[in-house]
Amino acid sequence: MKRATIDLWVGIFVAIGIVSTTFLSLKVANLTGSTHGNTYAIYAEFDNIGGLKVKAPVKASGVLVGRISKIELNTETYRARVTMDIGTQYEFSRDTSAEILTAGLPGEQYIGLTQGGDIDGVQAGHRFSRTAPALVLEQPIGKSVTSAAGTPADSKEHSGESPYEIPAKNPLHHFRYSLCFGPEP
Amino acid sequence: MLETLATNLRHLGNWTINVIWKMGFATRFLWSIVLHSAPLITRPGLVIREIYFAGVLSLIIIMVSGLFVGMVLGLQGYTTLVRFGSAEALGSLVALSLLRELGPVLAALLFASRSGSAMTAEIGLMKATEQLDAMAVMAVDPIARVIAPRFWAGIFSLPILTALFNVMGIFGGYYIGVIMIGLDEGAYWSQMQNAVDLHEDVFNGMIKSVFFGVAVTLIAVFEGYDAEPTAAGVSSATTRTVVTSALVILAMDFVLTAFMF
Amino acid sequence: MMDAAEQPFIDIRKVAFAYGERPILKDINLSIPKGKLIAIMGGSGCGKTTLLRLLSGQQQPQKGEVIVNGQHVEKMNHQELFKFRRSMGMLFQFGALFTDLSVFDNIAFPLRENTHLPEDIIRDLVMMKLAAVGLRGTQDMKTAELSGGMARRVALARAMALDPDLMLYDEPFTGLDPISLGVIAHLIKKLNHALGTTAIMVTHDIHHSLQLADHVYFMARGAIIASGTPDEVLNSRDPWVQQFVKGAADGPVQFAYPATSSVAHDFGLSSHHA
Repeated sequence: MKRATIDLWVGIFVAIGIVSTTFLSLKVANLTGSTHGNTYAIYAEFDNIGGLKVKAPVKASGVLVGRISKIELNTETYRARVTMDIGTQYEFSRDTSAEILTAGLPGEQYIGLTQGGDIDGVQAGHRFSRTAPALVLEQPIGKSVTSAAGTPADSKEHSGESPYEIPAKNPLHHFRYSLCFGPEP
Repeated sequence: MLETLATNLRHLGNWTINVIWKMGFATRFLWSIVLHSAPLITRPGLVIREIYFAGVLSLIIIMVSGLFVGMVLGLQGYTTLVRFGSAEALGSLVALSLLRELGPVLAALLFASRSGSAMTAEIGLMKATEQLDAMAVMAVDPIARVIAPRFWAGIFSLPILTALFNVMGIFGGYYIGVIMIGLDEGAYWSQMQNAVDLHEDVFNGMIKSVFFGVAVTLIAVFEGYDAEPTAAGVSSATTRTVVTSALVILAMDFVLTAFMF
Repeated sequence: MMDAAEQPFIDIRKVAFAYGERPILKDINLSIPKGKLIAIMGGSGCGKTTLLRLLSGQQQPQKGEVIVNGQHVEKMNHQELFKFRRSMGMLFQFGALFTDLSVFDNIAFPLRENTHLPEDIIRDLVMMKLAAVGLRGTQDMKTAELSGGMARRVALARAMALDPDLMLYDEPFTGLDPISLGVIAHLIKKLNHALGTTAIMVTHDIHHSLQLADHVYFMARGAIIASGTPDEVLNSRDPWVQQFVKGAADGPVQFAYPATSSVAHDFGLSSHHA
C-alpha cells in the first residue's frame, strides 16, 4: 500500500467524519435553539402547570420568543411559579396573559403569551398576573361524565372511578375536538 | 455427584479470578500504552496507517449497516406511530434512537467484529512468529511501534464511524418514510430538529462512542498481545475479542445512559 | 581455551533460571572469548533457548550474572537494555521477518530505528547487506514471496545490519533444505569472520555445528554436561555425547518413555492394577 494512497484515504475518512458531525449538528439537532442571545426573566404563576417542562418553548402568536428556565412551587400562595427567559427583542405589555397550551394531541405543552392592551411595557422580573392553567384531561372528562350520566346508580361518589369511560351520547366529542385543534398549531 | 459440583464450583472460582486478573492486567496495559505513546507525536505516519486499516476499511460495512438500520427503524417506527396518529414524529423517532443508542452501540459492535478482531489476529500472529521479540531485540519497543498506533487509531476512528452510521441511518429512515411511504418531507426534518438537542443527544452519543472506542480497541490490542503463540491461541483470542467487546459495550452503554439521560 | 590475561567477551556465572516453579537452568558457567563462534547443543527443553534469551536481556536470571563486554545484562534497566541491543544481532528460528514490510524495509528497519542516517546512505547499506547474503535484486519483494531459505538469509542480513559485536543464532538450520542449509552455514562462517563478531549458535545440527564452531557445549536438563572443541567432541568417551553425536536411538537418553504400568496391563492380561 503506497504511503500517498493511505494518506489520501485517511484524509477522506476524516473529511467524512467532519461532514457527518456537521450535518448532525446543523440539520438534525436544534443548533439555533441553544444560542439565544440576550434574554430577560419574566415570572408567571399558574394554578396547575400540567405537563409543562423546563426548556419548553414560550410562544406569542405561535412564534418562539423564549424558553422556560425554572419551575418551582411558591410556598406562600401554593401556586406553580414559572420563570421564562424572553429574548430582549420582544416587548410585552404589563397585562399580557399567559396560558399553558398543548401542541397537538400527543404534543408537548408550552406557554402561549397573548399581548394585552396596556401601553406600559414589561420589565425584567415582572410577574404576569393573568394566567390560565393547563387543562388536565381527567378533570373536565370527569366533570362531563358525571353531568352526562344521571342514572340512579351513578352518584357523585362514583364519578372518580372510571373517568375514561365514554358514555353513550359522547358529549366529549366536541370537547376533544377543541383540545386538539384548539388555539395552536 | 457432589464431586462434580465441587469441581464446577472450583472452575467457576478459577474463571472469576482469571477475569479479575485480566482486568487488572488490562488496566496496567492501558497505562503502559499511554506512557509509550510519546514517540507517535514525531511519527504520525504509523497512526495514520492504522487509521486506514481500522477506520477506512470499515466504511463500507458501517455505511451499509447504518442504512439498513435506519430503514428498519423507519418501517417499524411508522407501523407503530401511525396507530397513534403520530406518523410525522417518525423523524424524531429515527434520529433520537440512532443518536442516543443504536448509533454508538451498533457501530461499536461492528467495529469490534471487523477491526477489533483483525487487530487481535495481527498482533497475535506477530507474537506467534516472534516478530515482537525480534523488534525488542533490535532495540525497538513493540508497544510503542505496534500496539500504541493501533490503539489511538481505534479511538480516533470509532466516533467518525458512529457519526457516519447515524447519518446513513437518518437517510435510511428518510428514504422509507418520505420517499417510500409518502410522509411529509418537511415534517420529517422539522420534527427531528425540534426533538433532537445538540448537547443532550448528539454530543452524548459522541461521548459514548469515544468510551466504546477506548474499550473495544483496548480489548482487541490486549487479547492480541496476550494470546498464546500458537494457531489455536490466536484464533481463540480473536473470538474472545469479539465476545468480550460485545459484553463490555452493552454494559458500558447501560452505565453511560444512566449517567447521561 | 581462554587466555588468562584477556577478559572473556561473554561471561556467564552461576546462572539459575526458573519459569515459575519449573527450574530450567541450574548453575550455568560459561566463558567465551571475543571473536569466537560457539555452538550450544542439547535435546529439546534443556534450556538452550532460555540461555539465549538471558544473553539478549529478554529474561532475567533468578541467580547469577550475565556479563557481556563488561556490562551486567541482568542488571540493566529498560533504557540501558535498548542501548545494549544496538550492538547485538539475533537471528530467530524462522526468521521473524516483519510480514507487512518488504525485504528492503525489513533490513532497513534497524537502521532507520536506531540511527539518524539519511535515506540514501541507508539504501546503500541495505543493498550491501543484501549483496553479502547473495540476494541482490530481491529488495522489493514481499516476505510472503520468499522461500524459507531466502527468508532466513534476509533475516540474517537484518540481524547484521548494524554490524553487531555479538550475534545470537536460535536454531538457524531448522527446516531448511540441504542446499539452503549449506548456504546459511557458509554465510554464518563468512560474515562472522569478516565482522569479527562473537557468536553463539543454538542448534541441533551436529554436522554443521561441528564444522563451524570453535567450541561446543552440550546441555541437558538445565546444566552443561560436556564441552570441547569439535575434535574433542567427536572423539569423546562420554556416552551421552556419543549418543548425541551419532544420533543413536538408544543410550543414556532412553528410547522408551518410562511408563508406570506393565506391558501385561496394557493388554488387559494383568490381574491387578499396575
